[in-house]
Amino acid sequence: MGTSRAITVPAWRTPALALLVALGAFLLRLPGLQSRPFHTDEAVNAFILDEVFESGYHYRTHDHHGPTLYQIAAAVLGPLGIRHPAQMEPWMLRGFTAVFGALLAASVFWALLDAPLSARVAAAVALGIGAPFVYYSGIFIHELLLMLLLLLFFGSFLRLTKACWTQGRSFWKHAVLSGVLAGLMLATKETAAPILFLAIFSVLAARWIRRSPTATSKPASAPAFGPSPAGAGDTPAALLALAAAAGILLFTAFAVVLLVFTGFGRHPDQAFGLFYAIGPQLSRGTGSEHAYPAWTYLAWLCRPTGAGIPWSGWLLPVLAFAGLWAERRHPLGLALTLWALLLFLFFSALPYKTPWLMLAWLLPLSVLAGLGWSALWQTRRAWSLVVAATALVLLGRETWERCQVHAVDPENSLAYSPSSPDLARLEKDVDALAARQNGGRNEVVVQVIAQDYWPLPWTLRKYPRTGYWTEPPAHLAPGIVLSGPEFVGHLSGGSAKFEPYSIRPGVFVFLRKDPPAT
Amino acid sequence: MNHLALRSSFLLLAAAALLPFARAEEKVPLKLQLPKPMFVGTPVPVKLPNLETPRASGRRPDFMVPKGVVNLALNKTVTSSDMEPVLGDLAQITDGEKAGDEGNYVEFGKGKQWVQVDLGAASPIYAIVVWHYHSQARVYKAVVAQLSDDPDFIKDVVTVYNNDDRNVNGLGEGKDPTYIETNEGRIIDAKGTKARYVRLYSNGNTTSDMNHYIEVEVWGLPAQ
Repeated sequence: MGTSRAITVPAWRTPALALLVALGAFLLRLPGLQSRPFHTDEAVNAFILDEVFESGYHYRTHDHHGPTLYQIAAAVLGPLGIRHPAQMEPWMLRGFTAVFGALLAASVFWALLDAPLSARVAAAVALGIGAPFVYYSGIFIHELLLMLLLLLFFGSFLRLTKACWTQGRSFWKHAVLSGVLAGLMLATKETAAPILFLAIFSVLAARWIRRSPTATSKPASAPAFGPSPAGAGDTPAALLALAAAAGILLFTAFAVVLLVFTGFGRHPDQAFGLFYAIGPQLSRGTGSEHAYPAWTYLAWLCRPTGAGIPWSGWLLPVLAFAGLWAERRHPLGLALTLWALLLFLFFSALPYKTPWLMLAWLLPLSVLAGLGWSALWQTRRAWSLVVAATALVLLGRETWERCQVHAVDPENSLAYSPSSPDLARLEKDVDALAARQNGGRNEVVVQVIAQDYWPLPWTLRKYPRTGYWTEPPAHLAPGIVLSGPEFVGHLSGGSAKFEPYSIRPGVFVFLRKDPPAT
Repeated sequence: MNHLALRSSFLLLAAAALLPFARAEEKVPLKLQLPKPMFVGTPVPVKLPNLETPRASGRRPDFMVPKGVVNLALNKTVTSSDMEPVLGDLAQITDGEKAGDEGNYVEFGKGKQWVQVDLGAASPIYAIVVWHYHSQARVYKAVVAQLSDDPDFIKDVVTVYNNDDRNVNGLGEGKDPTYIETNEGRIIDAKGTKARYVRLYSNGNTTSDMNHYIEVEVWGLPAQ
């Protein structure tokens, strides 16, 4: 790939391809949206959304995240009259993350402006079919929204630095847009802070390292991520522009955080929630909960797993290396490499690990892998075409196996504490018991007595008279009883019949099979 | 003050007069506010490949033992790999108290730990029953039960239970299932093995790396 990056394709082709990629990525994310067992985190998010409808957003600094995801879901579902989990179906919530995943793939076309179209197509396909991105697009958690905002921020920040470097007067527009996106990221999930810091550092460092000592072109003609002109960025005017842009960005981000956390001013008490979260989040990140060794992410990405699950994660770093080689003369390749490497090291160093945190560094790695895949394809040599085609087939097969066939298999490293398919049997049996009670589903009292009962609130969402206890209540009401293994002996009294159901691997709940009629 | 007392009396009388009418009002079902679910964070995965599916409740099937067996461990001397437990005293392990209340268990340090009961004399043992901790659903890892006449468990050691599938204790790989702790305790079939000492190993649990014991019973025929 040379340094000349003149765009010669018709103007309509890029948005048309972006639309096509978005559509394809969305279709790939549809299977299983309704049928896959609801993860505990999704169930909790659904009930937080219920709370948002009832009384507004209340930030819980230790375990939960910012309001953006809930506010977007509420803005769409509210006007449709869907305000309570009982009215919701899995696809209604997972549809949001599927759309975010599809938009993420399509936004590559905007974020990598001035990159050759073939490179953008390949990077978009890499994000569109990558197993981790498809998998977490099918789970109603914050990660895909965060990644979408991150990629948009990356594109906006590239433009901002270009404008500052070339002393363009329009830098403030990009600063405002970058600030809005950064603010939305911070209001989505707390991990946005280190991710943003390292992404910004990577872009600035790449621009500075890759500034061309021999470039003679006029500053205004420099591409968004082409070599920075000699001396650009070092002049007082450029430094002033950068300082002004940083101020605008920070101010805008702060304003957006305040607006989103307060629900646009309706809940002023939530204004500084994010700042109060710094302590709890730091202790969480360095604590013993979900603590794994430093090499865990590498193992999750590259180590083959059992149970016949294919794993082609190793292809990403290999293709990414090809991408870095192809982009070695440009700041983009270096920026993406630094971004992926620094975030990988940062998250690996933290004891707290979950597989969806990998997305922050898999995003630049996948884009880089897409660029490498495109470079291979562009060589038009037989061996490189075979390698590129094989890589595509392997990644596609892996995505299908991981996201569909083994979606809730505990051996699948993407399936972290997955809910069990046995929940469907439990739901059916509870429905059968309720049908025998007076008043049926709307009147029967369901008592869940267990120390670990999620995602049962989602499973039982259509039972309005359901209560949850972590210790047995003094009096057990007639009706349906679900007990954790720790209380089943106490509750059965030696005579009642309880049947076990798996709610997650290694976690069981017992249903009383002979409830007295109400 | 008198006026106030008079007014209060009138109000009380009026309320009393209205009481029958109030009673005659239409009744509606009492709608109780049931406790809402508490929000939790991402659950930590439990990876136990040989976890036993809990038995449907009802009475546990009888475990058959010879007539005349007694709990040989009751109030017998207990030693352990950690002679200064984090919580509790070693004597609690054989004191006959099996409630899961706070303070009624002995906590040992992280990783591999063992407790050992000296029965006083070699006796035929038919069942070992162990309660690690049952006020929370958890699984104790690498549970191994051994019998021997050697207090150091070097020679003539008989392993009667071993669910250490990855051999983290270094006593050999075990094929027995892991199980969720309940108030029933775990019955281990000792098959009439004659021994004086009973040693039980564990290596943390699914909630923490610590080890716990509420009670250990050893059912056998008293030595002649």
